[in-house]
Amino acid sequence: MKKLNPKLLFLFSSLFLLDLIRPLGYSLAVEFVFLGVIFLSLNEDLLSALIVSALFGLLCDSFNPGIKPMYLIEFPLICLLNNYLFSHFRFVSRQTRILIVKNSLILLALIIHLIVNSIHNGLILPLFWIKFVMQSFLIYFLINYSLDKDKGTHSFKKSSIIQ
Amino acid sequence: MQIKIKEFQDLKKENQYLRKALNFKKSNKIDLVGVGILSFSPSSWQRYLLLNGGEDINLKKGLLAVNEKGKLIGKITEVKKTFSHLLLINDPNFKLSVFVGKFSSGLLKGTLTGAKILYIEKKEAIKKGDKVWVKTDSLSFPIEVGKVKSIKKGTYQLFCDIAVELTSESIFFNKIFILR
Repeated sequence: MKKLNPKLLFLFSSLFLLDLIRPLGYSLAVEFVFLGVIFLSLNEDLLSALIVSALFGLLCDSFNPGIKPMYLIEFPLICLLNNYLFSHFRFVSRQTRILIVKNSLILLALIIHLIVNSIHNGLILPLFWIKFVMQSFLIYFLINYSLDKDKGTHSFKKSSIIQ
Repeated sequence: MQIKIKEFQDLKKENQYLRKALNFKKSNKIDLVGVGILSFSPSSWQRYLLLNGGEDINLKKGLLAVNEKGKLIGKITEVKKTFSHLLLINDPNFKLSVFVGKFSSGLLKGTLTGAKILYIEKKEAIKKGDKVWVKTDSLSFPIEVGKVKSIKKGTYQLFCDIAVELTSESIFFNKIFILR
């Protein structure tokens, strides 16, 4: 049976805490847990990505005053979609995979999240959408850079799943 | 030594903050209770706070919350034993009946980046800069919400679109006061 990496859970807990504390208030239109879900879906195996995203989706929903399991459904679906699409580009060269495929999938996930929430709230806010996408992209790359995933020095992949 | 100085600076700031709230309370003779913030909403598409106080300090659903200057920032939507949910004015689910100018009234609705007023007829005399305020039965004075930012009157529309500039539009909150 596969076990989840405690480091992964610690990373997600930190991201969740950042979402709750919001150090820059609402001036930062970024959802750290959602960025973590995207990162997970592109860098980890499907099962652990699904479990962690469902767990933190449930946690996010529990802080919502209305009883709507939105994130519990959305996060694992984003994981499934990204994993499925990413697996179709297995034979593309590594550089192309990182530069084009990964970035397109990050953008796709952000746009899906944007559409889902806009429909849910019934609001059309182009300026807020641009702010959300740009800030999310920037923070995602900061997370990615700090974890040094693409350089292959990161330890998640090696020790994430303990058989 | 530096830690001490920082501590004194923080105390001074808190003192000024509470003094402002006390002035507001004294001048209006109201039952005001201060609550701390436990957390923000994890979603960027919602604007609500989790407050450190619930039934234990007699908070009830529908009570209005103000900042230290007495400007409206939201209303309580859910109360538990030790915590409660506060919906901020700019949340898309926020709805409150408000007055515009002297006599006009409409429904204030949050738009995430601000707020707008619905159901104000085109013929009503509202101009840019008019005050938006709220008054309830339990309060003897009006609470300021904001000012009219822009008015759009469509040719085939029965009501006009009014954007509101919120007076409490702040990205940081230290302490919140509930009007009981």
